[in-house]
Amino acid sequence: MPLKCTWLVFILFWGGFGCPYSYGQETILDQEITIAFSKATVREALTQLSRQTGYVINFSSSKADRNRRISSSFRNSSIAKIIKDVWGRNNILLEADGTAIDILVIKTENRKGTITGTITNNLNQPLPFVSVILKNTTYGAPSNENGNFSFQAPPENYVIMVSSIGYETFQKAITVIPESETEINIVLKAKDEKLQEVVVKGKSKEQIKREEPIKVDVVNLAKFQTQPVSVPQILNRTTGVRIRQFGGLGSPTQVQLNGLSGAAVRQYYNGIPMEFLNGGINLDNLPTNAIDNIEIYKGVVPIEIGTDALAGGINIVPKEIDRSYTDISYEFGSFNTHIATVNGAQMLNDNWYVGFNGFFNYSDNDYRMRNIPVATFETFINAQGNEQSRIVETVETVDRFHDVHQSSFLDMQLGVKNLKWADKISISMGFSQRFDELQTGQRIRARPAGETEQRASAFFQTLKYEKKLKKNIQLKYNGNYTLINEKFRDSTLNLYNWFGEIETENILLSGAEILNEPTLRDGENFSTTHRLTGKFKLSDRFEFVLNNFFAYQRIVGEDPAAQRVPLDNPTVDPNTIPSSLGRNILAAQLNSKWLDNTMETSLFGKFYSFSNKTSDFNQTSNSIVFDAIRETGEDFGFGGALKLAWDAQRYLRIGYENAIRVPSAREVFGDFIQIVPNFLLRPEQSENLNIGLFYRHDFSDRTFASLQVDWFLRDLKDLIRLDVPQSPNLPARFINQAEVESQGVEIALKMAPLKRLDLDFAFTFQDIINSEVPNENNTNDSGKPIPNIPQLFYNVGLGYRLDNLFNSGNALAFFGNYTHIDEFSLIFEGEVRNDANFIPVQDQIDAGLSYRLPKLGLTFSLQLNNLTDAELFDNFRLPKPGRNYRFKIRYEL
Amino acid sequence: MKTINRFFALSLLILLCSCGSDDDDALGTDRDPVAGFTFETDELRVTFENTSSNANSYVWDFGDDTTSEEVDPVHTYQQGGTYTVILTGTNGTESNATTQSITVSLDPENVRLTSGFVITASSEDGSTTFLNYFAELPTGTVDLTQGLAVQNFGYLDTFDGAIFSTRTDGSNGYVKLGINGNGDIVEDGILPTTGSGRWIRVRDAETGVFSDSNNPKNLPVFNPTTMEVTGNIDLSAAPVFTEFPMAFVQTAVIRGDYVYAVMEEFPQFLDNFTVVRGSLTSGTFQNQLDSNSGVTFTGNFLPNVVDEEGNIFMPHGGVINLLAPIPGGILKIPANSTEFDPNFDLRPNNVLNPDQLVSTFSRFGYYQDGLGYGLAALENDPQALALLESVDGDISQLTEEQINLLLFLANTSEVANFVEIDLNTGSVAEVPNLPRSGPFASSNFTIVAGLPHFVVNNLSTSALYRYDPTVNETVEVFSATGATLGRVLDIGNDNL
Repeated sequence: MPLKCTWLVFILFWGGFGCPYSYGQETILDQEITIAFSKATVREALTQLSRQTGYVINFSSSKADRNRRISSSFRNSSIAKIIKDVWGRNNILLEADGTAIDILVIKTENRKGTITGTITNNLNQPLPFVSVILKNTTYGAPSNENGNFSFQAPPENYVIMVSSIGYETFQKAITVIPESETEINIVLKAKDEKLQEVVVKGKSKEQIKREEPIKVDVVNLAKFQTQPVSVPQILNRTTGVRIRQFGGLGSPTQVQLNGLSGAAVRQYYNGIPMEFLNGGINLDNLPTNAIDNIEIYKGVVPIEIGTDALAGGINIVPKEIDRSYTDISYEFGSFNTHIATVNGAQMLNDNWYVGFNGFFNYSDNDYRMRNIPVATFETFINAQGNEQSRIVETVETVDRFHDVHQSSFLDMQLGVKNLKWADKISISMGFSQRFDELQTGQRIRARPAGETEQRASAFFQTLKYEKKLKKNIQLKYNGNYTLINEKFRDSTLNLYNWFGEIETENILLSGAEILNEPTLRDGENFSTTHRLTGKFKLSDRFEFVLNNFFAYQRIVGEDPAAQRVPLDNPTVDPNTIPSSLGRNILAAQLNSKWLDNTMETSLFGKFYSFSNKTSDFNQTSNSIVFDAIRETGEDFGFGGALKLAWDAQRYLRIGYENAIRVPSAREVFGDFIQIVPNFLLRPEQSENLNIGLFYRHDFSDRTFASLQVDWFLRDLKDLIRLDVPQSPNLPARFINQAEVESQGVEIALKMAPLKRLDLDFAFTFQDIINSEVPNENNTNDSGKPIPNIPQLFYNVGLGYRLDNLFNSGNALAFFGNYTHIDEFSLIFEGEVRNDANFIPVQDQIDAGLSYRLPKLGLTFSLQLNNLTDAELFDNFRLPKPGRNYRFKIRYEL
Repeated sequence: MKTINRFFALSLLILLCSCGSDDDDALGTDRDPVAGFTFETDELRVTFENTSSNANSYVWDFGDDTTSEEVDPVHTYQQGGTYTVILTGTNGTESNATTQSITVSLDPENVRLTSGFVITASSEDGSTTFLNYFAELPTGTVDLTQGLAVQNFGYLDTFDGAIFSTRTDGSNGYVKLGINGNGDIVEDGILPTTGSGRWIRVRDAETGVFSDSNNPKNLPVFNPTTMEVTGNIDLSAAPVFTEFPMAFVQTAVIRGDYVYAVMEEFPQFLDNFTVVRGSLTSGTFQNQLDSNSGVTFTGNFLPNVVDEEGNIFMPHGGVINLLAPIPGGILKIPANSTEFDPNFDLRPNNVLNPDQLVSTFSRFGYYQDGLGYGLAALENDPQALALLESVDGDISQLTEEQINLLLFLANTSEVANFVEIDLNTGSVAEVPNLPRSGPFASSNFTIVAGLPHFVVNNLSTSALYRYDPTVNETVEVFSATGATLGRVLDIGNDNL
């Protein structure tokens, strides 16, 4: 505190302002004297001053030896002012100790100061996203959602300037002190009385992203980070998205976006498809604390993100490091679940920083399931009078017993900003590991898996680079290199029942619990991705973006239990034959602004090329060909988007994309066991159209209501699906066949009817129809809804917060969430209802509260999931946990 | 006086009688018995309440050729209908009878129909099978998506109106499906298995047998009426298990008290099979038939492969290996033998086209009078032939991609058709006027109302055809829309 006060005193001296609250310590620098210099050099003047005052003045003589001659007289001026005037430059710091004064010379270019403050209007409401700049410089920043701003500038005297529509421009002189913070709180006056009622709201970065011409939903995770919720839980509360899991924490997830799933929906981590980061980061185990926001792209995907997504994608955006912080959390809950996270950053100086991000997850996932078919053996005396066993199947309530999930992740980042050749460059290295016991496959069966397990570990490196060339060219590069080691173990003769017991009556003859054949596969995968983006600002109205994405993956492994292929003598394990998959997507986009910037358009084209390589053997013919073969192809996709804004509160948005998805290596080459290659596969194609309207109305006292209505239409052709022929003689293969037409409406209503109350409503209705017409005589399935996709679902979220409880500064928040999913059928529906095919109506209520002590940086929160203990289901009627709790402690520094 | 005396005596008698029967009302009434009854029905069960007077013994005639002498009998009729019930009450000398008409009926949900047709159809993506019941075989164009949708259906056998299939919810095991009085398809019991189920065969109301791929050495024997496992056939002594401990049973035929199980080597390499015989009565292994190496059976033949004399005709599918193809065909286990007839090896494809490259043979079933039907690949695809000619028949010169294309064409082009096979003479003829199928199309042979019928599925057709061998004529019965026609099951016929 005393140090800060000293700085404050300096500011006041240098800036020439009076200091009404100056309570700093008086030093000899404040002593006022009268002195005159005549054509003195700096050195001479300082010597004269030293003689007259009797104080020792220490300075770097080299810096003082300049061709500066001083002729001036001071009357009752402080020593500090005299020294400063004599020195003639702003690059010194003065320190006084007893009777000695040190003149410290600072390197101005490296020792910037920080200007922080808050912008409010005269109603004391914060004004977000108002630009603050230092006049006649390029230094400045916009205020954030709370009206706060912070930026750096070299030490100098400036005029700070703040202007915003409807307000008078604010100007004030300030002085920036090196390595110090200058705080200035700015109150903007409304221009006239009429406008005073209109609160001009700025926009959060999520809102700005949401308003891009290309339709995107952005979920800001800040509000969830104090709550013990997972990424799938958060996404399930948005419109159009369903995340389905195969069990508890850590179980595989499937994303349904506008009713489409599987390979049609891509998942990205910081713009890199997650399939290339395999093993480490997954939607299911990624803690919320390390995430800044999640972008949901429906239909049209901008080229900076898009690879070859067909129906859209989900991009997890990690936190950007711009300050020092530490964020630690620990969460525990039902089923012996423990989640610990640590992430943070340390600014080493103005430019260099280190960041770290780690987590550890563990859960037994031993939750209870109702109405599970359970097969056991009973003995009886058979017709021949011998004792024999037979299988009986009963319906029971059982606990999962083989579903442990454990994962950990650590990522260290070293970065530097503002180098000559890089605005930002960072390198990160990390390691991740996971272990999963698998209790079931996709569906619940009368016999569980009791030994199947999966392990993966990955080592990854990322290099990021950003540079602005001149004023109008921006370059970005993101390169990634990952080594993954995977192990899958499904090999046992033990036969388990749902009570966790090994049956002694019989053995598991196939030797595999989930797969068809025993597997002891060890995989060694290598993948690398490279994305280079160039943004060229052609004029105020036009921006051109060029993006190239390249990915390469090499898959090889070994499996001592795998069927050998009689290629040679000795036979060959097909897992040891390496496959590789390379793809390149070159894309260009033109962004333009029209009609006084009220209309924005984007037009883009994507050029896809791929090259998959493997060694093939052919089971169908029993004629084995052992040759490296390469499959290559090219395709072209395009799209565009338009946004028309009446004003900041109302806009219309239209997007269209003709998208392509290149078949994966597995789809082309099969799996070496049960699926044979199909070299005739074509890429999947999709036409997507989105139209959306947004309206927001602000009331007084920070209350508002906003409504977003979107309609989408998708027409997908040549969808790839696995074709399993009836004849057991003929192996399965992937084919281009399905055609799907989908349309739907999504409504998102957000409001704050009271200052402290938030209400969210997300509603989705979608109609996903099979539009395939094989030929005029065969209209199979045509016009029918695609099964196993819910048609209607909605979510109501509620939050109420008490920001300053008992004037302690502590905040208490309550949150509640209600999700409704309408009944839907696993398969096509006939005329006669078959309950066995339906996933019944699901109503889930979660509620919790959090208590935040900002002074200590602590937050405590408790969440109760499935409050009513309702029977909930996931993928293929897999039961979800009943009532359960999670408790979370978060510490921020 | 005489009259008075007579009155007195009568009164005394009535008094005596009424004392004995405790019937005060009888005082001063006619002493002749009066028969009467009321009844309550509960489906086929009728509870009678005797309201007769002056009688001490009764005879009930329930109208279904059964009688009873109980006072208040409870009678269960064998089937629904209107019955005339006659109650005769006797007091030793006099008797009186009363008649009432009683209508009893089963709740339709408890009725099981034994006639009609179950027509199955599957969605293009394979996720759904629709089961449709029709009392009469439909005609014209029929939407087959109106029935019951199930997640899985693998038809295996019919018996006494019931259909035996793999479980409809996709679980391991078998299910018995019946048709109730409303025409709804209902589950009448399950037989769970640990591994997947491949086949189930019903011999009669008490005996059936099935396989559990997790336990191939034991074939469980069950009661098809109660759907309870009652015993097993232990095949572990079969030599095949010494060589291939995991050999599994691909399909089986019942002849009399014996089961002929077709064992497949596991893992499956499609070029070895063994037939093993077990006894349903003793539950033991009998013998392993001499194998015929290089012949492959498919699980796709029908339950009815035994002729009127007891000869078993076992079809095999063929091996689609371009370098060393094995044409499909039929082998015979003669009625008086437990071994294959070494002289019987009928290859229908090659009878019609000796140059056939991909000679698959499937969907075989026995009809009657020595006639059987099956789907045989009869021609080579012209594009495939051209490809072969381009390298003078030397496949090794083809690229991998070309070989795959060749196989793709061979498997999908419409070059197969149902053939009529005279099993006595070995003559083979194409069924006339039938659209062709791909060799692996989901076409089927079935017997409906005593005549051969064919489900034909190809790129432009999904329809049922009737063939009358006596007049050598084929007509379309109906065509399917909404889903691909699967099976047409005449539930009035057992073991289709």
